[in-house]
Amino acid sequence: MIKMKEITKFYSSGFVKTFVLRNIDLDVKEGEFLTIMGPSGAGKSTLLHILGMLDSPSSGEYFFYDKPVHRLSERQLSDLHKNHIGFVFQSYHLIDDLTVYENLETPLLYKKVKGSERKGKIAEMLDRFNMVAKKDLFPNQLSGGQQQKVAVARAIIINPKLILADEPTGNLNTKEGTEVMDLLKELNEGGTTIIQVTHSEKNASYGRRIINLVDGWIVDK
Amino acid sequence: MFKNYVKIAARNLYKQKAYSLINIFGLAIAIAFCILILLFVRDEVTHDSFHKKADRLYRVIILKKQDDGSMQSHAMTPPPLGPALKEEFPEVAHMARFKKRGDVVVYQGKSFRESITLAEPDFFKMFSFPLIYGDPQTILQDRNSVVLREEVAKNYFGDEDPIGKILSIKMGSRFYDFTVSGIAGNIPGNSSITFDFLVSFDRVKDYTPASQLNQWLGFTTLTFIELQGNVIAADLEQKFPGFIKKYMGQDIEKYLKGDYSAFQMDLQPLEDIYLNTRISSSYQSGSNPIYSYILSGIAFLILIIAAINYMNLAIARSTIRLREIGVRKVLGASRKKLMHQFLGESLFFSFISLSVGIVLAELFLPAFNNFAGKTLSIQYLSDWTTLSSLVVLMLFVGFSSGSYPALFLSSFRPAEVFRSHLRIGGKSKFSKGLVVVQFILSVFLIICTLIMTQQLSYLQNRNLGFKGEQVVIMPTHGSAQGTLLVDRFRNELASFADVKAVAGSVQSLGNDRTYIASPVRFEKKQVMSHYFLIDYDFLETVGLQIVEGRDFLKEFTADPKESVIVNESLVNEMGWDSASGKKIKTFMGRKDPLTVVGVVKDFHFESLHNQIKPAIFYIEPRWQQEYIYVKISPVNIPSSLRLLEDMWKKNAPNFPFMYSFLDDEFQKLYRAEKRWSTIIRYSSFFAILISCLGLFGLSALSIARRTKEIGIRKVLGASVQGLASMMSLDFLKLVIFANVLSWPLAYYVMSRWLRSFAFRIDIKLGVFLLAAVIAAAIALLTVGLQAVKAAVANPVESLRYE
Repeated sequence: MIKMKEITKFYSSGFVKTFVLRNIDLDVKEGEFLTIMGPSGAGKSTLLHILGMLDSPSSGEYFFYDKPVHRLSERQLSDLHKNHIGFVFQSYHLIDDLTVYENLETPLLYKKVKGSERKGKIAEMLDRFNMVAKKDLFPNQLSGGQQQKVAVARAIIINPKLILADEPTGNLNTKEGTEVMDLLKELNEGGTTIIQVTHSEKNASYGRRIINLVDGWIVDK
Repeated sequence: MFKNYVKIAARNLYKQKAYSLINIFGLAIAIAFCILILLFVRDEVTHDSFHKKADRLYRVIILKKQDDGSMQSHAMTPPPLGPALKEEFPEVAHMARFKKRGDVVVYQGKSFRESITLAEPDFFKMFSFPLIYGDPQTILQDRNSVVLREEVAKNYFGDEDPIGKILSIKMGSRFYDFTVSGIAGNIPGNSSITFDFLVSFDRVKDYTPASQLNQWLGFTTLTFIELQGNVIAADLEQKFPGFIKKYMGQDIEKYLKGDYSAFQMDLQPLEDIYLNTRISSSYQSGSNPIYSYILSGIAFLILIIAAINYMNLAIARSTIRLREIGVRKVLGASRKKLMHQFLGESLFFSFISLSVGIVLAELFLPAFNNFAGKTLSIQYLSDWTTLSSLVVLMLFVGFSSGSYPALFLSSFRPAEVFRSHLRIGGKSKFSKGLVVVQFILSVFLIICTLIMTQQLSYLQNRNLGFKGEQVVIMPTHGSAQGTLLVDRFRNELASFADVKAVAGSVQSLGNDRTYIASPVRFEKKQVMSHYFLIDYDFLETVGLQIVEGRDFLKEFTADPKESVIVNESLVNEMGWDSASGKKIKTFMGRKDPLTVVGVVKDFHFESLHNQIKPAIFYIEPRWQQEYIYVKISPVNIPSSLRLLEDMWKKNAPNFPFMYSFLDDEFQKLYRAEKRWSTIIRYSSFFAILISCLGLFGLSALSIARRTKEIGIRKVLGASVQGLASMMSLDFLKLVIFANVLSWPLAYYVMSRWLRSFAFRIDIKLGVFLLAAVIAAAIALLTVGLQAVKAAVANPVESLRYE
């Protein structure tokens, strides 16, 4: 599903090049639950962003379902990721000015899903996550765990093949965290590929494979 | 999707009240301004287009060859021209000659000065003036009928039925009875042709000798024609040289040595009349189209300033919205979609601003009408152009203010947004550039205001060479006893201490419509000169100084026959060392030359746009005095005026008592300049207001962005004063920079404007410095208050959030 060859990412400010990722080779098969671990500043989030096509590498090749991502136009990228990839962030990133219902609706609108179908899907999600009563609340009226549940619901509402989670439990208490992780596991068991970034050994244990990132290099433990 | 955008826009609007208020208020003021200007301009350009046959109606104009060979257009045509055209050319469907005169109307013993219009029977067939009562086919055929405008009828007869009432109207030297037999509806505000009292053209015979009415070289009458539907004006115009030869040939041979190129005839489309100021001598004052251009320009500038506010605030606020943009991109929004969203938002804002702007425009409309001398109104539904221009205005504001933020905000890559805390807005060069543009425009308008005000006050305070504030001028309304009336006033007022002097004159000083310009010849030299036909004591009454020789005196009995007084300009032009005793030839019916007996010190008898021209003064007993001049004492002015009125009622009961002060007559010459200075003053006020609104919003956001920096600096020991000035200085620099850029522009435009005055102020550096100080002070006040507030705040508060 994912094939990365010699992916490198650096930022140059003035004459100084700061390397964030160096020669990353990575293969991810469909249905995997992969965990990326490493200390702060190791390049975990950058790798995740490149995987999610939110950022582009400075050099190297990236194939997503055999499509050369590094050669696609912005439009094609946008198409690819809006149909196949869901994102979950540490700080949820819900749109503050939209209600729970409207937040769930937004990706469907961008995918041009028809009105009746949209309603059905949102209702299904609300039901599945026990959020029916909260559908008209705004994000700041919810607890962190509830917000993250909405974020997960929003990520999977388009039935993505791949979910990218950037420290999904970082801002949550233990109970909420467990709930979210159980959710991801359940999704993985349903066939969705999941790649998560985390500091927590406990969270990493949900995954079946772990790669370690230190100073931009993949290192074997 | 659309619903989603609207929701976000509405919630944002509600959540960010101050920001929304600044944007909407600024845009609304600008839009209101534009609506008013658009109304004005549309009224100007659609003058006379309300006539159903407007495209077939023409005014015949005559081009006369000038001394330098150029052709000057005149609206006045020979009286026999109209009937001859109608007879000669079947292409002419209808013809109407038209004349206007100010004269006296008496009803139930009361007299009024009114404007009387003479027109031919075809008048109502050609023009679409509504008749409320009367038969348009026949109404102007009856010599004794008069048609009144509805409003005028109401003034005279109140609620009584005006039809059949008798009015006594003076035509020339006699009063005639007229029966009211028609009532015309009110004339649209954008009509060049207006009338209050309309009588048959035949009445022209009452005050004009038949010889003049058949005179082909006398240009006294307006001629309008209506062409047949299928006739092209240019085709008819080609036949005019032959026409001139046939009808004017005899005169041209006799008086102009057969120079057939001396005259040319043209057809001027009716709709062209109002904005064509090159054609002289006409009854209605046209309007220079340049006014419309300048006003549109100003409205556009103000709109730009308001749009810049929107842009700048949207960019500055983007920090807050970056996360939303990032999330939307993650969720699959393409750049195009995001641009749609932000454009949609700006359109939403511009829609609300338009609604508020319309309300503001309606509120200001009465004041604006009053000031522009128009009766404009916003017709929302009856007229599709209004609605469509409002929509266009909204789209323009929406797109011009939303396009850059849309491009800018949609360009962020989500990874950048999430990774780092991007700091933008207020700091970007583009934003700064926009603020500079706003202040260039504002400072430009401030400088124009200052210079125009200075020039106007210079015009008002310049010594004109006489003292006008105590001189009362009363028109005799063409009374056949004008000279007699002056003498009676002189004799009867002699015993009153408050009356200093009384004199008569044919001209009204300051009113150049009464002036006569004609050559004066001395030996071989000929000089164009103004002729003032005056009376004994005139120079004294007006307060003119004799610098050589003497005034006209009763004891010199030959004065009315052979003496003349000239002004210094004429002496200079003639190149005389001494004027006394020089014999000059005039061309106004005097065969014998006149002898100069005195020289009067130069004084301004025209507006200060013009240099003082040569002038001569002499007594012409054959002409009736048209104006009575009375110099009164500066104390007891009301009682002096009452005295004059009583005297008037006793001596001229059939004529209305009207008066004006000489200095007011001269002030009237600057009406256009005053109007312009007011327009520019208001514009600069709004420009600076809207600019400051933007600056306020921008500085608030910039300061909010720097809260943490301020906290850290405070912890490190910065003083409140130091912090406040640090933050204000950033903006102050922009304003000062804008000033420097604005100065040359303002200097150029204002020196062009001043060049139209022969007498003008010098543009001094002080004006520019003052404008800079004003702009800087206002900007500092706007920014400084917030800066101080931020600087005073407890640093612990601002750092806690980290």
